[in-house]
Amino acid sequence: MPPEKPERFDQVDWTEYANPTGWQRSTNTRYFLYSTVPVLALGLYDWLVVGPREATFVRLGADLGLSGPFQMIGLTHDPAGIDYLFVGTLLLFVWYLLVPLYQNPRMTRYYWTRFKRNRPALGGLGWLFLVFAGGLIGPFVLNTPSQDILTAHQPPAFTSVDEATVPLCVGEVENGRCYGTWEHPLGTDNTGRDVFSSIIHGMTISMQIAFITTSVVAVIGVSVGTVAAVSGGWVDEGLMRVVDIVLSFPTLPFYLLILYSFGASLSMFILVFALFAWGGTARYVRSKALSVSEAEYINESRLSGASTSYIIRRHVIPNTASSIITQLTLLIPVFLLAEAQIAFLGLGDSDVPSWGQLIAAGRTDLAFAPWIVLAPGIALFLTILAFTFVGDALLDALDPEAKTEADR
Amino acid sequence: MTETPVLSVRDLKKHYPITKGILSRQGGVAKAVDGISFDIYPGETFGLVGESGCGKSTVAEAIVRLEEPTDGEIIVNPHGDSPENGTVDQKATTDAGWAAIDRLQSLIHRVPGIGRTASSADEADPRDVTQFDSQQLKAFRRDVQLLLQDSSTSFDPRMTVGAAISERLAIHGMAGRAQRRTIVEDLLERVGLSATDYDRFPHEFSGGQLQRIGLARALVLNPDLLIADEPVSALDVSVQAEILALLEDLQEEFDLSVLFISHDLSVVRQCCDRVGVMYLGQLVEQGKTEGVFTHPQHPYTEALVSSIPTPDPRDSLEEIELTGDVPSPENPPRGCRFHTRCHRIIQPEGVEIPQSEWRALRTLAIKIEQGRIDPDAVVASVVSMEPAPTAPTAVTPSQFDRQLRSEHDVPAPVSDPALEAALTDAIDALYDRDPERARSVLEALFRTPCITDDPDTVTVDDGHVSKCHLR
Repeated sequence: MPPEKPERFDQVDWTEYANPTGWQRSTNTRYFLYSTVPVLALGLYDWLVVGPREATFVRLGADLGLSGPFQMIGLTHDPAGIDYLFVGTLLLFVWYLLVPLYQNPRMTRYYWTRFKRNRPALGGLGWLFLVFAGGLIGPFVLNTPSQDILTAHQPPAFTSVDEATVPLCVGEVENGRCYGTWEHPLGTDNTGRDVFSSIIHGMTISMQIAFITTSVVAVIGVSVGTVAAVSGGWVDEGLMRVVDIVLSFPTLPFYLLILYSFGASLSMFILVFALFAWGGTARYVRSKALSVSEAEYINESRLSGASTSYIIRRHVIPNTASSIITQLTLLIPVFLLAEAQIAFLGLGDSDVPSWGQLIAAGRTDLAFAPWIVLAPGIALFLTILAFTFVGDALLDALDPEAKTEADR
Repeated sequence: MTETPVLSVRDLKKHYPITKGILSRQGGVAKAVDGISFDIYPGETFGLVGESGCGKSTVAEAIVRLEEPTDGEIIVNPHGDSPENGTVDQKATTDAGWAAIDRLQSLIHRVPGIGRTASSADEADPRDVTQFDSQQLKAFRRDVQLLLQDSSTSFDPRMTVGAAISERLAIHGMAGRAQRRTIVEDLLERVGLSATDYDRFPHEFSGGQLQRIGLARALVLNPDLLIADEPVSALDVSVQAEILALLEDLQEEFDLSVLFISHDLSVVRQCCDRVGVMYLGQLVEQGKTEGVFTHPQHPYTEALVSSIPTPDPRDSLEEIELTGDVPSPENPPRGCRFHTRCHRIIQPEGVEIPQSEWRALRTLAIKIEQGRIDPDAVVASVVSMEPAPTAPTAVTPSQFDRQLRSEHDVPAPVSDPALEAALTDAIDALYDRDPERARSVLEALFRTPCITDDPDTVTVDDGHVSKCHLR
């Protein structure tokens, strides 16, 4: 008589096991779906119930009868559409990147030891972590910088400017020079907004651009590339011609057209640029998926009785996805720069305190107040450099062929 | 043997279409496997040997339907079931009415010209793998497993080996994560690894260890038949021996039948009960391993066996060197497929010359017949041999003749006067740049059964069959 649950492979009576059919979700997919429910619900609530001039959380507090506690912890925010998208992509990032890394400690350690070899990338990762944390927590801690024409052009701490250039010096005045204070560690701009807190708020914008664009590019690029590679034939042909169109589309003129018809907004920028940036990724994924589906382990998996969709989800996509991470990381700087350039040209959303806007605001005062341009400029420069370094290191860490090169 | 075979392969064919040009017109077919039949009995190891490119691996791929067979039947009998209560044909037995309709449909499909050509004209065997639907195929995947040569590429690099093995259990419906893990850990220990290896990644193992894990993965669904395609060829000799010993132990313990595909005859001799020798998509000889190796009936087997290095220096078996090129499966030779290289090729009636001379003559004749001799190249090599500068036009027929013969080790003159006359005639024709005449002269002369007729399969003794005109 066999035991209730056989513990040896040759004791298993396979007729007792039902043949699984349909779509089996992995645990992480399930948790991802669960965690998007509250975000979606809040988004729907915001869209359907909350009025146009109400703050979502204030209204929510009133509806739930929790206004008091909400006020106490300072929950009076009014998230915009782009914030919901941002949270959604963050959840994607957590469930499909961070949690799997945590679940496979051996693999993580292996990649980490290889990543660590690249010193500049470590520094870059540190800086990106700062930007990420600042962008995530900053807006909850620091208020949006307010305008005060009297405190305009204050110099950063430890520096001084001619007293004549500031309307009113916040710090000490000595020998006709106005000294910076810790109240405005990086000084203020021409309307008296604090540059430091502007930079922190700019981090949120940069992170939103980075996360949302990469998510859109990754989802569309991976889907199109994989479908093209797996289907082959005319589907492949058709999709690749669409990719050609996407790649040759003049995104900037198109954005300007939209700008003049509907007005500028950050979400418009992100959507337009992300929707026309996935071409390269799709091509890359397609070629990678083609080579992966030739691999022996795909045959092995087919021989075990796995369905094609299972093989694609469990073997083809994971093996292509890890190699596009590098490509995506190197795509982020392009978006950040594009945003800054558009803002500098005065074509951006002037309500959004992005680094590009700050640089644009400071360009007229460059002669006597260079910090307004320099501080966000350096932040932007470091961030782009950091992404490039991290992307390079990821290429070395994730690509098995790079291993032989590094070990040589 | 009265036992029911686990696997019966009947007249299996796999032809690959060869497309040419930009319009992908079908130019011909490469007959990778061309009519192969054999049986594998429970608990037995059947070896399939042959040179690279003879179609051994295609046989394996066709059996597991990784490649769709062009024709033929592959009949499986897992657990030694009789056809009436086979587990794989649930569909046919569940409902008699549906079974009748199925049969009708398969009959329609088997009418030549509409569907597949009819191999057994009246009725499809419900246990024929080539006719399985996806549901039956999935059940079949449990019963027959394939072990590949190089396990380093057959594991997903981003999956722990434990996950790769237990994945198979999950695919076939075992939902309990803990149960899967227990089974896989037990199995890992059985193949000589430790349970803690479950969480390691393929790149952390050596080739031999990976092959053990590959074996564990092939066994985890408790198959009845394991197809091992060159399982040890990628390993060094000491590791080979370990894996073979492990395979033998597991086979004994779990009553496994094995189809062992290899080009290494010493390995096959060591571990197989019966063996089949393949040449150019056909089985030329099969029988008990000892019989085939000690009394090879087919000249090709003879040549292969003679090439095994023996530790005994006094061993009298002389190594037979095969001449000529391996013909392309796209255009296999007429008659016996081995005649272009056979050292025992039968001489035409009334001719009696030394066999080596005959062989050299045949090789030259085949080249001339196939138009593979370029007279200009022969002339050029004559010119290059001359001490003084010579114009190509100054090369005489006799110089041409001498050069061609020496290139192909054909003596001048050939011992048989009739053959000599014909050969001289043919070479003259070549010298006159008239390959058509050369071909017709030679074709008329070389009439031997090896070239004209496909040999029948002849039984030598109990289960030992050979496909050669000599027996």
